[in-house]
Amino acid sequence: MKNKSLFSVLVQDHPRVMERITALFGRRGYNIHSITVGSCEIPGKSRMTIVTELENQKVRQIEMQLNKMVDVLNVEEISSQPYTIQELAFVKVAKTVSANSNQSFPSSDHVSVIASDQQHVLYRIIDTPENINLRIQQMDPQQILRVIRTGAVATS
Amino acid sequence: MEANHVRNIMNPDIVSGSEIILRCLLLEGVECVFGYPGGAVLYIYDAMVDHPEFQHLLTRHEQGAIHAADGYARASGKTGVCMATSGPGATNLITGIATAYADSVPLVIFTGNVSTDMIGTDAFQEADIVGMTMPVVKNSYFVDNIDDLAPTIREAFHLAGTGRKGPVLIDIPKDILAAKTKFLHPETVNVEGYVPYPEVNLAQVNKLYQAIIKSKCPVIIAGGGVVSSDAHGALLHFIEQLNIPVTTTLMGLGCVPDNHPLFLGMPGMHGTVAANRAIHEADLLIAIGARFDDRVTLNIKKFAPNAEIAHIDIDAAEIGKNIHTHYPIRGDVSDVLNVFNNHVGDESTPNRKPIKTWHQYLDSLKEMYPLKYRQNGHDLKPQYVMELIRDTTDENTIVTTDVGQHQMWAAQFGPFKKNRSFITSGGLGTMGFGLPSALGAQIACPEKMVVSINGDGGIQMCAQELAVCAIHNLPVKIVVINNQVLGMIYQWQNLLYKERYSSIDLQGKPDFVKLAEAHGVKGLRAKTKEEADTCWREALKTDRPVLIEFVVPKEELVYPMIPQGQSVKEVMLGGDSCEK
Ligand SMILES: Cc1ncc(C[n+]2csc(CCOP(=O)(O)OP(=O)(O)O)c2C)c(N)n1
Repeated sequence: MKNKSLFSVLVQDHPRVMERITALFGRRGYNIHSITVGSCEIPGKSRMTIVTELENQKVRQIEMQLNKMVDVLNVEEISSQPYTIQELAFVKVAKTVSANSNQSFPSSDHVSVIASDQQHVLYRIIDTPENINLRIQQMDPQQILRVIRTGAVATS
Repeated sequence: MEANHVRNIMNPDIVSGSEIILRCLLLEGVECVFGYPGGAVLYIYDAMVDHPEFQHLLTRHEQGAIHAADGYARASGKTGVCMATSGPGATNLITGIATAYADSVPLVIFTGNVSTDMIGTDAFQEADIVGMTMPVVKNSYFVDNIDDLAPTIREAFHLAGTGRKGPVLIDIPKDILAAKTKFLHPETVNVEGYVPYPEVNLAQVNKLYQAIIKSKCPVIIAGGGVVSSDAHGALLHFIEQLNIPVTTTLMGLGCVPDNHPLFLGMPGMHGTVAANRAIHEADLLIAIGARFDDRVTLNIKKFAPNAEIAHIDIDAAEIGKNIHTHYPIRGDVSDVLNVFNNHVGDESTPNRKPIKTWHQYLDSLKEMYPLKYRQNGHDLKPQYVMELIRDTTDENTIVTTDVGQHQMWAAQFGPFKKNRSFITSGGLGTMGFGLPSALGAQIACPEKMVVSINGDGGIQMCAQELAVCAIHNLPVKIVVINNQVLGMIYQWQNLLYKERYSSIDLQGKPDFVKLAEAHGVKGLRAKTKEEADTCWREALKTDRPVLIEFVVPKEELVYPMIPQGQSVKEVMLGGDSCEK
């Protein structure tokens, strides 16, 4: 049984850390859904959020393998506990000529318009990855010109 | 030496990156570097001219250099050091790095690279060696700031030689080797978050101890971790105190004397019936510094079906990786066994009585299924050669092997009484390892006799290193078991591919005696048992490198054999070819 797994990983801000970590998944044949990294509260260190899908018995193995890497300082498997997850997406939507097929995202705290001109509207969505998927699916695919997503950040 | 030549290498002088490397190596106590020069590392080789106390051994191929450093490390327990130039020099090391990684051998590897301003331009002899070796190193560094050089080298030695040991690579651009800075040797080394030797968890030791007391049919699998941690003494005490039979994996051979009454031989694909049966019928299996490799477990679903599993290992990621573990103990094998041994000696703990029926049963298996082979007339059999070597060498002998049938025969019939007396590429199974690793071992242990056992195929993969043996008069006994085929491939095609032989023929060429002589190594050839005895006796008397070619029939197969995916029930004993 495969389940969504989330890892929050504290790493040294060294060159090629990202490569070492993605390769660790890649050479075991595991897909990474998303991986995000940025500076954190400790100077010289970064925190990553890795979203992946793993068989249950592999989760601990990956956690151990990550922990073993010299540049990795701490690994938290957060999907087995309550957690908060959010992702940012930009969605560029075309305005069409026929007014009745014109769609926009239902208004919500999660969605805002950040730019628009004669032809397009650029929306910003901040929500869980699943909800972003749902919101985009509800739109007319013809109208969606471009989707740009950051990948998720999460914390326990 | 004149006074002004005796420099204090600790002095905070302004020196080049190359000088920093040499000073750091001297301060780490490195006795010998195995390497090969090239454009990107010429500054280092230039700096060596001013350090006559520094030993560098020029091999004939970078693969030879890294296997030699590996053999040096395995024989001595120290960290091996290897050096190569950028591009092809660096890529020639990769097989050797992967070999060392698979067997957790401590190495520090220096590669040169193109100058920092040329990096990323596909410059002449540029190779991204850090990227290429990422999956097979414990850690790696690209040093683009000269002030990082000394601390990086310090850290690399610390990482390579502690915890679960392994190769660490340092890639240095040419301009950094020439750049100058004040030499500051870091007194201490601290790698944040790296805990090489975790505290042994007493509660877990206690749990396992209770399980041992209750167990009726316990067995130990001792692996390379025991060798690497030099825990052979502690292990011996442990098995004798608790009366537990022990089998050692290919990597563990030598950590228990092979004539010990509790020793069952090697488990797995070509293991003894006693070892495999013991595992199959055990109610408690204690793996110590062994990692449940598929050559041992064969079919993990049928492996040790009745046993609770205990696993003692330095690497937390190994515990539970391949098999569900009931008693996990993380720690250095020596530390854990010492805790056990102190515990066992304690008056308040009950001593475990030997389980008579279990021991008697295993002894009967040992008696019923000894390792044997069919002797007919004067025919020289490879197993006979192994017995000859075993019976004529003492415990101050190191055997290295290449990969193939001869490796398995050496493991089965070899003379292993001491830790670090058997050196072989177990995890990666690298052909070409046998000869260069032997010369590294001979440099590490000049007082010991080093015997290198090779097939006629594998010896040709690094045969160029014969010259190095001759030039440095390294008196290695180089055994070539010439069965005129890629024997292990012949065996698989014979047994598993319906005798459809394909690309295995090595018949006729080269003339190994001439090959040896061309390199300045004494060459001998034996085709019968009598010739084998005479040649080997002559080889033993020879105090310079000698190659002995033993011509044996190609039909000989390694038995017992349990094919991959099967269990001890499907063991092939080899019919009458197995009777002595
Ligand atoms: C570098 C490398 N290439 C290929 C193999 C696959 N392989 C394993 S054993 C073997 C045959 C070895 O033949 P030989 O050296 O003659 O030894 P023998 O088995 O006859 O003792 C081969 C080709 C390997 N282990 N390593």
